[in-house]
Amino acid sequence: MNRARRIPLPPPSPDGKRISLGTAYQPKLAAALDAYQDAVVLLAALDPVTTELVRLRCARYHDCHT
Amino acid sequence: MGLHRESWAAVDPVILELCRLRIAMLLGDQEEQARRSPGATAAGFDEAKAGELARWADSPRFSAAERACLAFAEQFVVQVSGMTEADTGAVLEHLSPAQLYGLATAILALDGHQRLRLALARVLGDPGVAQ
Repeated sequence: MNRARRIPLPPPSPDGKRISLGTAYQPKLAAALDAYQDAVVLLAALDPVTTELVRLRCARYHDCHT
Repeated sequence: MGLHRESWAAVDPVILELCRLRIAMLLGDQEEQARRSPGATAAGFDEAKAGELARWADSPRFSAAERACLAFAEQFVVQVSGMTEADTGAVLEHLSPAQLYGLATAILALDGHQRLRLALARVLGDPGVAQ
């Protein structure tokens, strides 16, 4: 596992709030990715428990902590 | 799909086409290897590069930026959790952080698309997907 920051963080907004990488760098692409992931999560072909197991397995494989 | 459209809009189409084709080679997706993306063709994609893609690391046809992006794509496909600062740093010598974010997201979309196609064809035997 590698915990290093891989893409530099964007500067915070004028009010000091952190801005996500996608919002700061590629807002249209980030919105499209969000829409895709939302659609996947809303699929109903699998039961919720199996869906969650698959999601967690993918998160571990991708070293994703969010 | 919006994700694919925005991916091609966010990344240099020639670099993304090289990455798409390399992903297809690594995954064994022959249909994806055979086709060409319209954006890349319009941008003057060099077919000679496609012919030498298996040896991009030492072929003089590829620029340093293309090599860094192809190495990034390979690491993403083979073991994305093993991605290091050295991998992203090599890309950041040629692309901005915003462009790297775009490349990473685009590769995620392309890799996922090709894996899903292959799974449908080979595991589920979907006749609507060419093997």
